[in-house]
Amino acid sequence: MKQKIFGRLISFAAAFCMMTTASVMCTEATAFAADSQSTDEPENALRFEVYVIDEETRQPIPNVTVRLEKRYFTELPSSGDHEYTGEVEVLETWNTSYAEVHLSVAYEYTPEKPYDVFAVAYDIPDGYNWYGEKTAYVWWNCLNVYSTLETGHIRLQKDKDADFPVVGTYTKNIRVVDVDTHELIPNLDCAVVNKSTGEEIYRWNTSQEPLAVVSGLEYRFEDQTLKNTIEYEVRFLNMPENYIVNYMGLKDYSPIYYWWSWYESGKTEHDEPIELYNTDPDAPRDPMIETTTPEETTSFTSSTTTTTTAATDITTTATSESESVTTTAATDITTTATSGSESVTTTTTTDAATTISESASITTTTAATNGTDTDLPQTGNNSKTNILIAVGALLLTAAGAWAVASSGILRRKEDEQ
Amino acid sequence: MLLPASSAEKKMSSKTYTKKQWALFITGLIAIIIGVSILGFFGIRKINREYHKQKLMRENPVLEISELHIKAPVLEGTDQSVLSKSAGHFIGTGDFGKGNYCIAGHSSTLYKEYFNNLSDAEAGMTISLYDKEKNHYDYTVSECFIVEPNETWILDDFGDTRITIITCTDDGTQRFVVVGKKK
Repeated sequence: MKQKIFGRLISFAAAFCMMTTASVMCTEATAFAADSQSTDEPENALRFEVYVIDEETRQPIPNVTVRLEKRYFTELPSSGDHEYTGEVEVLETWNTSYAEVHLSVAYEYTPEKPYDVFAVAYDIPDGYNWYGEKTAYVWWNCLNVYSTLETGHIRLQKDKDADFPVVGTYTKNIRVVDVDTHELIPNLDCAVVNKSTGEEIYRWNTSQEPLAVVSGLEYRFEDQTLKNTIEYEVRFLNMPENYIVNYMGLKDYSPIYYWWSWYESGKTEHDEPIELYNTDPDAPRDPMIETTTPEETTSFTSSTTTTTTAATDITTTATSESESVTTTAATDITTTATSGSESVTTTTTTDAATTISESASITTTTAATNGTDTDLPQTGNNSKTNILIAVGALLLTAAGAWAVASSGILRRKEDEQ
Repeated sequence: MLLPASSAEKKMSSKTYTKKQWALFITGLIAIIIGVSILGFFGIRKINREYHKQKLMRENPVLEISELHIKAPVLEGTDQSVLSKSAGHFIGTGDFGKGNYCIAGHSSTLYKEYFNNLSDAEAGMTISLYDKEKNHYDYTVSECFIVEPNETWILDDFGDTRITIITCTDDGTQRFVVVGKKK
């Protein structure tokens, strides 16, 4: 009798455990699947955080209309570079008077139809310029997006009444490297040449002089702007067949840019790494770049219904202005092709430096914009759920083993044998 | 004389099992299967996480405090999806070897989390930060203290080059902070 009651209790306990653990397991399994998925594709979340700030004070600039745009391109198999098709899709539009920082929604990346994302400020307010232009932008090459969130700063400069040296000289420390291996390109004859006059300023061989320090380069800014009117370029006199200039797809030369920066207190000596791309398909590649090639990029979609609705609205807005958008895009693309490297280099190099001092004001707003909270994150993981589940599973297994044994079926079968 | 049972007799004897016995047997079998499945699930998940941890450490920046046996990959962002698999860099704070590079990570009294031993940090210990190219930046622990969750001033730029590592206190109500200054 005692054994009978105990057996029923065990059966009841086993059934209860089965129900609870099975339901928890389902939840855990879902979380595990999501966790595994997110672990596999952290680099695929194409979300962008955009600031429009004063380069000098690093304070947000209000009343600037900014558009986030997809600019589609086709890859050129000959050079490995890409060429914009002129097709532009406006993803989002916002005004900086309403938010100091804008966080975009997540967008699906389709390898079959690749695009870059541009954040463009079209209406720069009076009193500001962007390297002499009234249109400013930052952009991301979506083949090389590493993280789930990319941050870009559009730094506008105040129009100045020539209270900076309009004419002067600067120095460039030039090193020519392979973009994938980061190693020096050996035995390459290079020359720095004045683009307008053709005058050769400096010549060197990379094997004999890995880091060329080219000083005495002149600059002259136009009035009211920071547009430099004296241009130089590095010419490659014996460029290997299998190399091109990374990003720009140029074969024989790479432009040199100089810009005045209040942030750097008018620093006149800069490093100028020139990255070359090896077009040989068997050439070694940077693993970080390989892992984000479009073939391996898993597509993802907007996360919420609200997001989708927002995107649709924006697309509608873009359609009504499609003519002007396309025209502007074409102009910008030309600018990118000819002088694009300045913006790319500037963004890359100065971002690292300026992020530091911007941290105080920007960090707080970032947290708020992410929609979570402004506190430091919860980093204690003392949830007992997993331990309880594991203990429950152990008890369940033990109870099952006891039930099987006490049923007598296995024992009887052994006896029969 | 004991004669061997014929197959017909064996078949007859199997019919003697009661319904109760069969119910107990099947219930037990199901319980074993479910129990083992759950334990297997945890085991596979642990292996999977360890694999991804190694993968993340190969492809991302890494924080190391060798004296405390802390070695963690660092991803961008500090939301829970990031912190569940790595340490996270507060977006907008510092850079490698520049400014105030702030990192958050889990600690736990129950599980093996990245920053469990962080509370044992002492001034003078070395913190190494490796970027994606595995260039390393060394910092020396200068102070350790506890703040409230809303004290975000620790993320500010103090004009020097430092690293700030944040994790929860044991009860999870406060934040333990370790600050390292660049060597």
